[in-house]
Amino acid sequence: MQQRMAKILFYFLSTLCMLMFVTPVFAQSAHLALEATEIPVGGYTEMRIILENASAASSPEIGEIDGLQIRSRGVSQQMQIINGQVTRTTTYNYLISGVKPGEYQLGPYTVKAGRQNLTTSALTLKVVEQAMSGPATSTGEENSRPSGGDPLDGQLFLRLVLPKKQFYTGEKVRAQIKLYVGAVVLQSLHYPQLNQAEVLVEGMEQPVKSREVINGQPFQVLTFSPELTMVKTGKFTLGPVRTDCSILVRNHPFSSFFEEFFAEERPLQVQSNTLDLEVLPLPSKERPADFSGAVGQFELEVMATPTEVLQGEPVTLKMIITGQGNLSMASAPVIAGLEQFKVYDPQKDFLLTTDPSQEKVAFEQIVIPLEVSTTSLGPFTFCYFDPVTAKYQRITVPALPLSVRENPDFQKTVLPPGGHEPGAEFGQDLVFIKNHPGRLRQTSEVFYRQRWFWLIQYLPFLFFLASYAYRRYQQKQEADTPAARSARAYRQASKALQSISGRLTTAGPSPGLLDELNQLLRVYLGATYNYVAAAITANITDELRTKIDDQLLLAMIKEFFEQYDYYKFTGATFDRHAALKLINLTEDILYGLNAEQHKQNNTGRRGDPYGK
Amino acid sequence: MENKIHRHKIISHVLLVLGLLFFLPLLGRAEPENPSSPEAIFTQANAHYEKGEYQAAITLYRHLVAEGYESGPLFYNLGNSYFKLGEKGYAVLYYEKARRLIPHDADLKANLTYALSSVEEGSITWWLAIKSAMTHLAPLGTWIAAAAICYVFFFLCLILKMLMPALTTNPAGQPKTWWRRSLITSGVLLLLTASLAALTFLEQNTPQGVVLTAGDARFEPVAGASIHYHLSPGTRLRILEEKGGWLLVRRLDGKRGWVEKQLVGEL
Repeated sequence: MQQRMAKILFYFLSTLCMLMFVTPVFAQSAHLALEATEIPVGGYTEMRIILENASAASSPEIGEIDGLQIRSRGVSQQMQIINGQVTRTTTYNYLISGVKPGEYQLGPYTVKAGRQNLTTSALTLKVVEQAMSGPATSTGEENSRPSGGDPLDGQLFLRLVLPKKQFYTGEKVRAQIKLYVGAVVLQSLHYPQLNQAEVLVEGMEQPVKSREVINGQPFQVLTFSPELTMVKTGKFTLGPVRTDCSILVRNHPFSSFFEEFFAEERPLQVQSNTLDLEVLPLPSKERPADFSGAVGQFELEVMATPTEVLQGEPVTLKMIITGQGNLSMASAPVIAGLEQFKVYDPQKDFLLTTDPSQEKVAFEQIVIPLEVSTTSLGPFTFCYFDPVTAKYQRITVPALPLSVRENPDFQKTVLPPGGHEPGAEFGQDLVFIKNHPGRLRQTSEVFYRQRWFWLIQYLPFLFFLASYAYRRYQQKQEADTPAARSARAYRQASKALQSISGRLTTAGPSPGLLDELNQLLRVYLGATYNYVAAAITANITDELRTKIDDQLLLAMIKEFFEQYDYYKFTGATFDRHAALKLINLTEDILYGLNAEQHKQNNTGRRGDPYGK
Repeated sequence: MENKIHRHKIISHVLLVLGLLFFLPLLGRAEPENPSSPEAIFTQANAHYEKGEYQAAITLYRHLVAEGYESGPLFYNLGNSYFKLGEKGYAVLYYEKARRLIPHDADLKANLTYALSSVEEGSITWWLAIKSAMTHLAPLGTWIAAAAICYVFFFLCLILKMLMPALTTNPAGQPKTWWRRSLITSGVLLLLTASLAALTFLEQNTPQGVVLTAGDARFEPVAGASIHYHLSPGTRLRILEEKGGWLLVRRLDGKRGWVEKQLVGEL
């Protein structure tokens, strides 16, 4: 039992994981569909909010509409796998009943799906007084010929709808080609074909599905919305549009469940009504010289980058034209005041828009300012023909500020006063090759790929470490610790001894020299062992026994003071030989005491030279 | 008298040697250029280009590249030659290589913009735009050199403090203003230049490529897999993964897909 549960859980989690990995690839979308766009008062129609590849966190907020009654009919879900691509569909169903006659806008409805909000389009529902008497007619619709005949009997027909009958050359219009499918099973369907020299057909994409009720009979409607561009002037008949399809014809008296197994597939061609149209030429009398060729209603936006340049540096202009109409023949907006620029040809690029009825074209153009005095770029003018007002319109964007600084390396091409070089034309091309190879070197020769470069980076750090160590040593020497005092005293004593020794060589012995030696040693002993220098005599050795281990050194100190007393107080001659002997003795004592100090410092008696 | 003559001889000899030393570099310059030197090959390639013999120019430029040479003008000229032959993918590839060495060259900017004008790359994501701007502020070598100078200066300040405390501190023992400012400035500049060097280095070592031949980016690394989007020559890509003969790439607008490796030239 547990194993079975684990198996079920495994399959469930596997499926969940698969769905998690598969679904993010496909776009989430929400659509609104009405079974019928026109119902009589008291009649019903069904509205669906369809979410593709999305699951709503809560049901959509529909709200109440005065004149309509809207009731929820629940939610249905569907998953479809075609060529490994998974499409999940969640449909919220509503039943709408007409209470008062009028036109009601349904939607747009917003559904929260995951982190994003999906919004449907809006649809209009017309509630009429009387019951409908026949197929709805649209503007421009005529010669409607529901085709198919027996045995279809008006169950499958095609309708071509245009918003108006009169157009101008180059005008673009979105047509509707509606395939009505009644009580027949449509097995396959080809895209509708409209091959006519008078129009250019583009954008025959996937049809939008909806439902309509005609004479009380529900039809599934597949609507194709291609764009037609009028290319020839004059009167002509548009259509019929033809589409090849196949339907299933039931030959056996079985229930509909087995219909697909026993039905026969029957190919047929369905054709639409025709429309009589007139295409007028663009008015030539008042056509401006700067007419761009665009037909429709547009807006212009201009950007320049950078706006601060050196003389001779390129400025990229981006001119974006957005609007409804035909921009395929449009040339770039006209830029005034380009005498001080070198101009390259504009590059045209069609951009995608979120609204399929809008066209968006970007013209990118490079201009190079030649003069430092240039302060602006433009203004920009775009002239188009508006078929609604039947007039040429002009949009002007004011000049953009531009700051041009002097470039000492810039060599301006001298142009004749008239403007362009004779015989030369503006155009876009490459800037010429470089004559000098620059710093042509092997890739491995680049300095930062050399080992020496990275090794010398250690030097500042090592110097810093060394200087830090030196600084620490200096600080130690300058500190008021016994060890520092002892070291300082040794340095001073050594210096003084050198001076005495020098004077002995040059001037010979003198009575003062003896006192100097005595003073020197007493000062050293006082500073090192913390005695009052003036009070030090030969008896000091008794006290020093606790602090100095070296007995020979103690004997030498004692001998020094005895020698001093001898020469000082007995009146014995202090000659060169005696002086030299005493100096050597002093030197040995100083050296020995210093060594003893170091020894004591290194054996842990540092900082305690006084034996305290 | 003999001494005088001898002294004059010595002076004249010294002057002769000095003169030779002075003019030696000029004599060296007067020598004909070695035809197999990289500079000479570059000049020959330029001559081919000027005659419209773009394929011959490419052969010579690429010979230099194969020998391990690099320079901004070399890659730029190579890009121009490919563009003239209609090989937009290769042109963009070499312009991008040149951009790493001479990012501020106005001619390069103009030609790269021109080459990319008809390339569908989608809208570049804002963080990629910022990253690209930052990593093309200067060549990598410039940032490394700048960081090294700031590093030396920073340690110089510290060493000065250690060795000459009287110069860097006031009598109260506080560091002098000029020393503190120098230390902070060099430290901040060191941090900035080192960061930019690291960023540029990482960017240049991230696998990137350019589409050389038109193709499709697919959902899976299989020939028959569904097409996600179309790739035109010159489209710049980030290479995320390699599997068999396929590369998982990301376009500048963030769209990912699998592309056959042979269609992409690596930067």
